[in-house]
Amino acid sequence: MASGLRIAVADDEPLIRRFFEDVLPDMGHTVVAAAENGQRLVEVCHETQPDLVITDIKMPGMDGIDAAIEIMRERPVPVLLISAFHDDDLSARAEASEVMGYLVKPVERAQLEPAIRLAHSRFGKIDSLERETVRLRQALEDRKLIEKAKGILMRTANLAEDAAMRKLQKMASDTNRKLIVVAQMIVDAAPTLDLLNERGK
Amino acid sequence: MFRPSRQLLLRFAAIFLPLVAVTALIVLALYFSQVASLREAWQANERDVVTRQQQVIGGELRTVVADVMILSQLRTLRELLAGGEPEGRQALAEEYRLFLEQRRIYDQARFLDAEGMEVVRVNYRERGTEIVPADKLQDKRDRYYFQEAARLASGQLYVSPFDLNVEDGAIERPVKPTIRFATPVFADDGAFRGVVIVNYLGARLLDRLREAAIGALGDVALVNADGYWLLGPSPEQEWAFMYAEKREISFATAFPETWRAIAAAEQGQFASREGLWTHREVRPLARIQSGVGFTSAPSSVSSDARDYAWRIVAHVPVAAMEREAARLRDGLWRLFTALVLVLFVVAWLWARVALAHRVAREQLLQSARLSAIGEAMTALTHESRNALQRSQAGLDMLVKRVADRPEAVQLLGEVQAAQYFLRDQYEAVRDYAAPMRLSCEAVDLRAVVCEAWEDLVGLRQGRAVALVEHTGTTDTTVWADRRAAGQVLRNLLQNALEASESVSRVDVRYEEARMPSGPAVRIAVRDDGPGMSREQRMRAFEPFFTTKARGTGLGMAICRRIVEAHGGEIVLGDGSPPGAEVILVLPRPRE
Repeated sequence: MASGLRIAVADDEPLIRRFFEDVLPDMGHTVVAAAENGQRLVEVCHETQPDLVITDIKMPGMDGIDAAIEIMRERPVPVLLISAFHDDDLSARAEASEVMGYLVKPVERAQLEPAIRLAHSRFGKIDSLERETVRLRQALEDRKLIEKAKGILMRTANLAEDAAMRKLQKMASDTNRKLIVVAQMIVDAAPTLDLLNERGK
Repeated sequence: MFRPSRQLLLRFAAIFLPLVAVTALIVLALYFSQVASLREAWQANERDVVTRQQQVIGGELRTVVADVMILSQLRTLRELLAGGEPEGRQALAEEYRLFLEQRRIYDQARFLDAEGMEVVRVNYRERGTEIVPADKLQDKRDRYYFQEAARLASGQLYVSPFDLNVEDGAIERPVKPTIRFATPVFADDGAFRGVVIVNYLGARLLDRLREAAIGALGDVALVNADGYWLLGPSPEQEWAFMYAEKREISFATAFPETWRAIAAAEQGQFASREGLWTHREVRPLARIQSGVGFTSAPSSVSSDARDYAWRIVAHVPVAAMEREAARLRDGLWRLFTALVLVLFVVAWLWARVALAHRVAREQLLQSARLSAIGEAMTALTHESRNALQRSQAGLDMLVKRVADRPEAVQLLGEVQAAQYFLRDQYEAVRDYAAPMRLSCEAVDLRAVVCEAWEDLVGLRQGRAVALVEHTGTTDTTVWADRRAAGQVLRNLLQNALEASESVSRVDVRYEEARMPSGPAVRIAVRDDGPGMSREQRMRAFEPFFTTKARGTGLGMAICRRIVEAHGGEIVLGDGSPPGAEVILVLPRPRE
């Protein structure tokens, strides 16, 4: 499941970049980009859309944490931080940035694999949870809109609640549109409907 | 139980002992100065007593001399000499009787004619003074006092030695100390006509001397020129020269050395083995010779050939002085003991305050030093980690490339081991030196111990080692940082496991304890291994001291740092077998 990931790496040390390019393929992954600083990392991620990012924290210019924040703003992706530091400040920043892992140097090959696997699977879980949340939130929004449209119908066409609902569904199937689209149209048209209603009286 | 630390005891001793020594010196000095002033006071007192005695003697005898002069110049005596027998004789006798009855200090008064025949003799008796009838008068021409006085010129006085009265050749009983005073009488034409003699009752003088001796610290004696007691320590020793069988009893024989010293000087004061001696020669008649305002004062005084010299000797025995000194010593000893008690308490409090102060200062210094080292170490570790990362990356890549060459793989294994060792060293040093941030909470130590034991599963593989906990009724909750406490216990358990391959059980014993700051829990971790050597015990907490081939030597030092940062204590057990024991004391949560 975690095999065959497309991974972007960043470290200001050429040897370390080479190390990743050397050992990650052994684990079945592809290194799609190797950046030497944070700014560059953001750029290559934009270009290559990797499945996972491994970055050093301390690099010239933009550091790893800021780069991670930048990248995740564009698109959620699991990020593994690797650093020689592990003081409280950095830990706090890393935590706030929602990165998926934090490894303290020296990191050896054997440590890398489980860390990647863990970060990826955890991200997967979180990502699916987030998707679910988005879906539920949308459903809730839709529900509210439909209720609103129903209310307008009840008021302007003088219908009972279930009749208004049936009317709404019929309008959707008649026009071959989604229920939510019809509801939106009714809500948008509400002021006009109210005006017509007043004339009719 | 409270057991004062060695440091506290040493510090206490360093304060207490000098204080006691100084106090002892002061008290001793006080004692000696007190003894000296006491001695001076005694000396002055004894000198006063002796002077008083001398005045008594002088005053008394001066009166007697005056009396004799008066008796020798009475008008009735003149008339008798002018030829008024027997009425004149009777008149003189009456006057002598009146005189004796009023004076009461004379045993008898007589007038002897130029041939030594008694003309008038009056005997003083308490029941009634008697005038001796003419037929009982005796011829005294052979007696020494008549002969001595007969040789004198007008106005001269003979004084007999001070001795006991002899009647009819025997010493009168009860003894009657007597001094005879005699002066010649001359007619107007200068012809010798006789001698007036009074017997002075010496008992009165001796009584007055005894009275004047009240206030003396020891006894006061009156000794004659030959060293015999006239007034002595006991009646048996007095007047010994009067008895043939008592010739040996004298001051001079009782205290020969002292007597020699006394006899050689007119007056003085000295200490000898027997005590303090104060003495003064008394020549009662010497002053009379110079005249004291009497118109009829004797122009000179003769006496019994030998110098008429007595000696007043006041003696304070060594025992009496020793008694006073002992009383002084007692008082000062009590003072000293009380002071030592006070000093004990003072020194104890002082030592505790000083020690606490020093510990606080050392801790401050230590933490300042550590934080400086810590900063340097953090920077160093960062760089080292980067270097180690490069080295690790290189190794990992290299292993891949030489996978088909076993020897190379094995060598790389060695490099990897060294790499691990270096990494661990750096991490331990950093751990030891980095600033410590504790976030304390109520922690159950048993859980911490269990977790630490689980963490060490790797070390226990293939061995039969048991963790035996002794909880009793002890509540095992302490106030600690969970992670740090875990580190300490993991370290202790690891040391126990690594003490020897033969270690088969590790005992962890929990007990209630107390620290100055409040209640605490005592945790003793003991293995059944070979125990620690003397050197190991001494240096156990020293940074970088290790007996392990791959140890950093910081484990125990870090433990101590962590425990002390908790306000706790970590020490070694008393070293009794079996195995090694480390004792932790951690505070309980504050209520």
